[in-house]
Amino acid sequence: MQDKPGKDAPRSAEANRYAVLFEPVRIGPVTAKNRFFQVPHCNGGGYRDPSAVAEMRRVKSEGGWGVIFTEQVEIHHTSEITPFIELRIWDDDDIPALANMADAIHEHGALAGIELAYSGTNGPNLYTREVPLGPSNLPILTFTSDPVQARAMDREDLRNLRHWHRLAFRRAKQAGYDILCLYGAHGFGVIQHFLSRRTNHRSDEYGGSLLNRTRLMRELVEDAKETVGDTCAVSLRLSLDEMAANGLSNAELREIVEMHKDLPDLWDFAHGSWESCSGTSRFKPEGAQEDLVRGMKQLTDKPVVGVGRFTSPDAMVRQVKQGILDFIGAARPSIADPFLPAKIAEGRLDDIRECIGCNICVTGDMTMSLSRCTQNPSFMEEWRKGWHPERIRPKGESAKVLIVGGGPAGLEAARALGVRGYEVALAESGTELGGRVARECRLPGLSAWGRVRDYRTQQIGRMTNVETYFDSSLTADDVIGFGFEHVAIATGATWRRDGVARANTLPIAIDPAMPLFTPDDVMAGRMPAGGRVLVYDDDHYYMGGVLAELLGAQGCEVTIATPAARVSDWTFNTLEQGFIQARLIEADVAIMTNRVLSNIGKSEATLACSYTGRETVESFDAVVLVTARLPNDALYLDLKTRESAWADAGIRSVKVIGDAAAPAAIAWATYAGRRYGEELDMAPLGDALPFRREVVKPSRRAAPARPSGS
Amino acid sequence: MARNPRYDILFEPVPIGPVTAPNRFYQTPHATGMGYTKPKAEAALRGIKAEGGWGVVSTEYCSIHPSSDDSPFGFLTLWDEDDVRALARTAEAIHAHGSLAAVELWHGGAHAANRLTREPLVGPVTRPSHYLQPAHVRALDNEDLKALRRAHRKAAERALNAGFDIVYCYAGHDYLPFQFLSRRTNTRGDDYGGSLANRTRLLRELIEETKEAVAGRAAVAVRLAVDELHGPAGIAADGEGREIVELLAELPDLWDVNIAGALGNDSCSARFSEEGFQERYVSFVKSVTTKPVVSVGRFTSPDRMAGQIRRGVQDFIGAARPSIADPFLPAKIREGREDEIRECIGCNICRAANNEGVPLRCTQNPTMGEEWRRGWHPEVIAPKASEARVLVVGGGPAGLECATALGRRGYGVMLAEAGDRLGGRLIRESRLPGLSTWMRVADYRTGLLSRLANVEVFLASPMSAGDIVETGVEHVVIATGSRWRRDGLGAHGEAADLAAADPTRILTPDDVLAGAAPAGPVLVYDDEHYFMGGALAERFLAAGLDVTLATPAATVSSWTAMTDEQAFVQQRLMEQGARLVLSHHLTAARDGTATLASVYTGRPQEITFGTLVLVTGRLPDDDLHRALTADAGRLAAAGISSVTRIGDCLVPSSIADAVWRGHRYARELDAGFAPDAPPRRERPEA
Repeated sequence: MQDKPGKDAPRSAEANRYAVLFEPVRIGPVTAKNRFFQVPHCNGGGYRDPSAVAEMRRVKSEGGWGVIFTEQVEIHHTSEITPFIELRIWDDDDIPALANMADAIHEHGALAGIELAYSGTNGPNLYTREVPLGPSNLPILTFTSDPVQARAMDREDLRNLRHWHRLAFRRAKQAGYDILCLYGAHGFGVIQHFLSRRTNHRSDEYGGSLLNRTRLMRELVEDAKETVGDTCAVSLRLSLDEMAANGLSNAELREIVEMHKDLPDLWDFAHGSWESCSGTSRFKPEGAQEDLVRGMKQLTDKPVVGVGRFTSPDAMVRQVKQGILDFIGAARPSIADPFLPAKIAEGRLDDIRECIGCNICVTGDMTMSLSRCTQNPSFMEEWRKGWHPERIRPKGESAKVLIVGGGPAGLEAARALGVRGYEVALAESGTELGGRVARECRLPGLSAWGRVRDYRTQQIGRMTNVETYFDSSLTADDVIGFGFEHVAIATGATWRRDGVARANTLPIAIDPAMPLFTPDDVMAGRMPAGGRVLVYDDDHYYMGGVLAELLGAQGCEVTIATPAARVSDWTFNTLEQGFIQARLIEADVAIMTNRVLSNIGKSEATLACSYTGRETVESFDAVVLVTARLPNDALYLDLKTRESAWADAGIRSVKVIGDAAAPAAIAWATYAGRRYGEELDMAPLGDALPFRREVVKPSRRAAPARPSGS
Repeated sequence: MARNPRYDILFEPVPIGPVTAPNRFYQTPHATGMGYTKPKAEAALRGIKAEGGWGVVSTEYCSIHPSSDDSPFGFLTLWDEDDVRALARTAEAIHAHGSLAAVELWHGGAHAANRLTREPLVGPVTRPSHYLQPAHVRALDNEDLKALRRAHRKAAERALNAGFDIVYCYAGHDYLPFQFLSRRTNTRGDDYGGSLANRTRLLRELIEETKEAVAGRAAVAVRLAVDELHGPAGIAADGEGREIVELLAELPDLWDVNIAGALGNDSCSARFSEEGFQERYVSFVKSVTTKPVVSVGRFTSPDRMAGQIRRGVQDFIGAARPSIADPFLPAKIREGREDEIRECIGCNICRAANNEGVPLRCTQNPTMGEEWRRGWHPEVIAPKASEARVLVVGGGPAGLECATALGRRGYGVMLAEAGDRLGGRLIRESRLPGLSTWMRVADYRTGLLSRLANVEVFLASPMSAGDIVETGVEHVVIATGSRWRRDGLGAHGEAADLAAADPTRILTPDDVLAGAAPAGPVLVYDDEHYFMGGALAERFLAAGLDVTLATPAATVSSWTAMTDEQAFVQQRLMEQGARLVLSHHLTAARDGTATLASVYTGRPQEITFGTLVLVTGRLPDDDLHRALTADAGRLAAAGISSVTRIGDCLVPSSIADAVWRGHRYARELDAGFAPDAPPRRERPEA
């Protein structure tokens, strides 16, 4: 299976211990140049933004990945997952966009993989309005419980299904793909719906015994090999454990692999539910799937790929040397650092931008918007803004920039401008860099978030043109006195203590006798000493849930109240909500959902039902308000009022970025820093759009009449 | 037929500033779920409205600048010249039928998402974004406000270039100009905050500058929410709402007024509002301005419409949902065919389409959203392509629509209904609290059938496979509906252990709708999540029963969030005393005790019941289909060339889907379709 070392094998002596990662590996009729395997991942762009997706994949190819996959590609219009935006291979007109992606992937020698999906019981067909087809008559299993059911496929449907797959195989080959993956993992593919007793209630030759439940899988793989197997590899992506009652278990999967050893050219194993597979660093460590995947390789002669949010080259080597995996599968680590393989090859391990496991990338897909990455702000901006994870345009006409604030926005701005060659002064009022990241990474489960700081401090530490100043709390006078040409204010934000957020847009009545805390207090070590504590969460991301967890662990009797129907409601989009609420329930935190805090008395709080307005009064010894934040923009506003003094001081621009402009998640702050770094000295845009976009060309050609038309 | 003179008043032309509407039918802006990614589909949809006689046809919300992006919902954009070309198609399609084209310029402010553009959100004050996402809104400073006004002006210029006759300034639905108007969202201390005159400043500037931009070549409309339903603390029709109209009375060329606070207030479903429900909020407007006024109220009755004009409530009959259910509503009144109006049932499936980010659909009008991609027209259908005769078995929504559409094509149709009345599930479900308008789906079609001589209706005619074979038809359509499951298997995906439960104490919605009287206390287990669980609980509460509603979802009737109803449903149940057990799924029931497990931890809790009502999955009633298709030889011998299932019998779904599948069958009969062809799509062209 292994050929001679690939051409981009490690070039430095230090990196030789990673040589095994750069061995070529054969996959059926094709050969991957190394073991770095970007497994399929969504990106929120899909068929709506195909050029953006193609360019993103091209950058991964440049970064050295041996195999690069598309996201899920819907094979037929009778099974689609609108409103989620993936790719489609429904007819020949879909081929050009997919071929562009394959070309982009091939550009630097990677194999192009395409993940073919028939969504079955997971596809509500809201767009095409076709009848969903699955193994059994069952409600569609989606995030929104659409009032749609799947119909049990009959023999004719199954024949059609195989025919539709063959059409897709031919089109995928025509589009230039080297590996065709049949998707049966995460509950998202019909193959899994047939494998699992949870969704397969059939009594014919496709239901019942494992031999019967695997029949469709076998037929589809054999059809694929027969149709395109001479030139394309065929892989199977299956769930390691469905993690649900009556679902496909890990033991059953092992039986399946044993029964079908050499059926596919490659086995691609993913954890059962998407929530489990793409667990955040708060809930899953690196390599969390090892117990489930260990031993699979010994059941087959075909190569095995698995994932585990791997960012450590040593952990990767161990996976291969211990015979657990043949390929290091990665989705999120390849998003955070598309150049991870190249950096290992070149012995530049310090330059790896490690995934922090925050799952902000997943929220792009969940909200049908272009995915973001906290660590890599260029993700999905490669095409529309021309951003690149490693390169940035050279310096413009100015020379000196002052950045005030060493949090995520300031750090990223300093790094980007440093790479461009500006003379940068980074003024931090405290004694450490990182800002909110330095504080928040000390909260339970969030230590990996410190990598946002670590990567950037490491990078700017090596730049002679970037100077960092600590204990530098600056006034407008100071800034004007320094005379930098450009000033970026990145002074962060402060949590409010007046109750204002989403439910209450105006301050609420608060008795000063009630001990009151904000997340800033708690992170600075000022927190309730014990007793009954109300954590009121009208922020809805992680902070309220994390603080409830922290205070509960410190012995407080915690109640978390929120106007939402769920704790940490927005973390639904990071796939964490279920884990968070379960953890709080198990920690005996009392949960009051659908409650708006209307009043804080000296020893009690009034909470109104968000549906009926009915009020209840509960006694508390302390209240922690996790509500809105206010930008720390006093310095910016001072400087703005003195705009007339700028010219004499040599100041050409003062901008406010990150949380100091508008508080948001950390990914927004690194993005703002990057944008500042990218746009400095760029010609003003005027009324032009700040990005390219894909529009449907309004052709004036008459539409062809439909055969059924009126 | 001649127009009823009572309705002449509806067909008077009305000047709007420099342009004149040909009549008083005004399709107010409404979402289509299409937006900038589907310009051809959008143009075809609006063109049909104009063809149907609407004097003014408006677009949906149209962003003026990338700082206002509502992805993933279907919004339009007027950001650059590409957009002008795309939207010109829509204006052209509207003009082709002599109607005025209106465009709703939009900036969402704090109520935008900017998920696609990643531009910072902006608004009057720094606050968390309106949509739940980990982002705040930045307060607009003076420079930003100038840029915003410039963007609005540029968009107005582009709208003019695209050919629009009416350009909106949009201060409704909690969007940016409205955020400046309301004290609840504007606490600024500068010229744009504080006094009402200051809070109105931005809207005034936008109106003035839009008028400058269009320079007398188009009218400028204002869409204003005159009440946000937050009492005197917010904009209220008897307070600041009125004062705003007074302050700006003669400035715009037209006032388009409605209510806000949440989108569900304006688009309130029939379950929670009556026809004309906004009148008490908007009726003052005409008394404080001489400019024409339009508002909405889900009007489908021509007499009510004429009454609105005669009583001086408004000058136009504004409509969004009624124009979706029947794009030809004005033409039908004009031609004296009022009894052919396909009345909106107020179910808000159209809202669900937009909320789910898919093209518009309608329970009553299956052609909605299909005008371009499938070439469907609400009033025109191809004549029959053969002399084949068709038997439709089942007179529910799918069978009724199938029979009427085939009848319109001229086919010889027999419609056999087992019961003594047409309507199927509609008869039963329209008896639930608040759902009486749903019967219109059957009423409209039975009305049509009475005029179609080629469709024979057989009531009280249950059909066996043998009966069908004897009919001698060529095509058989089975539309026999579905039944609710009894095994507890729903969307959560796991059946409950009910082996030890007394089966007489377990009911399904079918039992209840057939008249079974539950003994209290009642436990309604809802793992379906649309209207049924909540509506049954409401009915039991009204009957004085003690009711607990349990569901694996975090909210009651969670999918009704898509129809803008969820808050109303849960509020009503709570106020009527229902006990709620949320985020729990049913694992087992034995006599009088149900065990429910937390969806988070699996921890069980027990609830005692007199009756357990299972609102879970449904199973198709396809026994007849199976019996009929079991013997292909017999079918061939009888000359039956096709047997097709439609509606809930094919796959249980919404009424809208049943009607659509019935319609599709009728469209595609003898059409020689390629089965592998997807509908036409609009794709970015590389």
